[in-house]
Amino acid sequence: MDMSKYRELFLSESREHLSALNKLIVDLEGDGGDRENINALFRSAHSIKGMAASMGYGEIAGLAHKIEDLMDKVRKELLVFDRGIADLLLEGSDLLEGLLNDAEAGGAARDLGDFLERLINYPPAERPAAPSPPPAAETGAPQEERRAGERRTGDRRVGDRRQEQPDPRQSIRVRTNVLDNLINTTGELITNKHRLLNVGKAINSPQLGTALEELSRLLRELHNEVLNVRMMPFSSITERFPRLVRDLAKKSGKDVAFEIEGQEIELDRGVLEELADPLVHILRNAVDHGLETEADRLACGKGGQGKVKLSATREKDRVIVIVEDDGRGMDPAKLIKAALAKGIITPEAAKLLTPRDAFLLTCRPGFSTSREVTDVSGRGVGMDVAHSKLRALGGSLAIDSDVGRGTRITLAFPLTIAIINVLLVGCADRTFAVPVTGIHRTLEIRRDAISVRGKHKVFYLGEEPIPLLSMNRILGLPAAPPRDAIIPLVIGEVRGHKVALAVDHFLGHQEIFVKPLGRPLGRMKGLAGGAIIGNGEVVFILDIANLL
Amino acid sequence: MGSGTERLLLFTLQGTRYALDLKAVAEVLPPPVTFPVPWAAPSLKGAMNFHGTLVAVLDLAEFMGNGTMAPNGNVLVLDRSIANLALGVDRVDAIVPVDGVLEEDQSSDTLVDRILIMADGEVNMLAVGVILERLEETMKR
Repeated sequence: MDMSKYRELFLSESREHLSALNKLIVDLEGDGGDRENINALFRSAHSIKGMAASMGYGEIAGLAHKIEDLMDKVRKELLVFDRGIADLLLEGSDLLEGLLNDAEAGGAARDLGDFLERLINYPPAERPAAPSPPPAAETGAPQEERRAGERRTGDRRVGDRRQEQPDPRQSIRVRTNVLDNLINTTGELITNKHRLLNVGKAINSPQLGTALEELSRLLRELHNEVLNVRMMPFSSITERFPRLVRDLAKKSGKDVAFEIEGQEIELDRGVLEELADPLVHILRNAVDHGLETEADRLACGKGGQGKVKLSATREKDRVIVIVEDDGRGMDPAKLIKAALAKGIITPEAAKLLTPRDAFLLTCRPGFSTSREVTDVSGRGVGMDVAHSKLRALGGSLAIDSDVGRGTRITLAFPLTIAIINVLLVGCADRTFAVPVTGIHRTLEIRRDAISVRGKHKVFYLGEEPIPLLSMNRILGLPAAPPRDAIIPLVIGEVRGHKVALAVDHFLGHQEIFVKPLGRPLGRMKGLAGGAIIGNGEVVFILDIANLL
Repeated sequence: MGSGTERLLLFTLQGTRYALDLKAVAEVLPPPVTFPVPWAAPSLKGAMNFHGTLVAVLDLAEFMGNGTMAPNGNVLVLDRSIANLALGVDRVDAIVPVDGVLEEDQSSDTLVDRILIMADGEVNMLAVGVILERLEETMKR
């Protein structure tokens, strides 16, 4: 029987099990051998073994089988789940991932070296099982007490997830490209609705108007349903983070308790894909730079174990993700001093910075105050990339920090990015789209409200001087003739500062379907995508934060 | 020189014959309506709506520093797996099997992958990857 057509499904399901496996290993290391987690880990290995065997991937099945054997010893309390087992299992998980990659590439399976022997012979000199505490499920209290304050939200989630698993008869597995096609078709329908609305305005037909109202209502319903289908839980990207934090902590010699909250929050898969890398970088920074060493923590009166918490909450149509640590925190004065020394800001600009502005200096390209370059967090070039990715999502980043108490990084971004609301603006007879999520506000000012401050034109929004720039000039377009005394302004944010962009006209709000630019236009800094609007015109979506 | 199923699309640019692997071309179109791209080099004529996908349109002759494309020429929309890019050319000549290539020679032009010697003369096999990389270089502001 030709099994190749099932390979994609096998790989997808195996990777899901592997992701769960990683999380369970890290959880088990922290909870000292929770019975439910031991059983869940055993089942994951067993599932991978069974699927691989049925597909004819003997090496994968063999490795999963040996992992299963080791976990069976733990389950039978012949071995205690300790750090040595965790290290070995994580190494096994990495090898399984490698073997899955080999299977995907259609090449020969990699050499596992002596790994299987090490699994079979663990521990190197068989030691008697330590007296293990009764399973938590039976007695409740002992394990909770032993690790009071350290129990991670993730542990609860494993249990919760099992309870929340949908009835398999009511769910099916769908290829991600089908989901992408669904949103693409819905986006095209919305574009065509706007075309019909334009036609309707021109011919002024009541019957057409009624039909278009009904079409709009149905499209809204379809749009909502399609968005629901595309929603995935935050956990789909966070499941690997406990492993990541564990590895980083081990590498930097720190003891770290990692907690995740809000894994059930659902986001569009397009947003999740873009969010994973920035979060990895922020977590790396928290462990590597944010947290002190155990000795330093003890010396300043803190507990030896550092804490990093990742949480997600939903606020209307936005998601707020917070990464916080209880580490050394950041001193805004030191950040400003470093930025001045590197020539990133001028002394004049430094005087205007609030502490929050100063924290955002860490997101400037090339900024790093770490005295020691490590291979854990790279060379201080990551935060600007993370910030840039968030802005491209229509999101924002804020940093709060207290010296000696820790740092909190707050990311806010929309639930979905495929179909967004934009303000259409006219510049030199061309139309551009500005995502409403990137606009602080719009307003129209009188030409005589503009004043000159140093080399810059500014206008005062209350007491606050806002630099004024011409969108036409930024886009390399001819300046509008100064025919009107009123200037329409879009106020956005560039590098943490408000900037007013003068446009020729406001053309109105519209819901648009964002089309990725791909190669080569995707390389154009300042363009976040494109769209086709109701009159068939191609418009570019401006990424205000990256325009300059 | 290759399997009989492989074919080349031959086209002309300022009197010189060029070729592309037919698999690299999604569609051949008359000059489309384009919309200007901010900050674009003069050879990038704009973006077109290609069945709902945004595709950049490049005047290949102008990009190669060899005049500009004929007003009634064609655009070759590249396969999406390569790029969202269409190449403006003067004329599409023919589709021929790769078997018609008698010999191959090296080219000193970096935008040409190799020279194909055919029964009716030489044809420059376009180096699409290099063109794409050069074009992207022009887009860095």
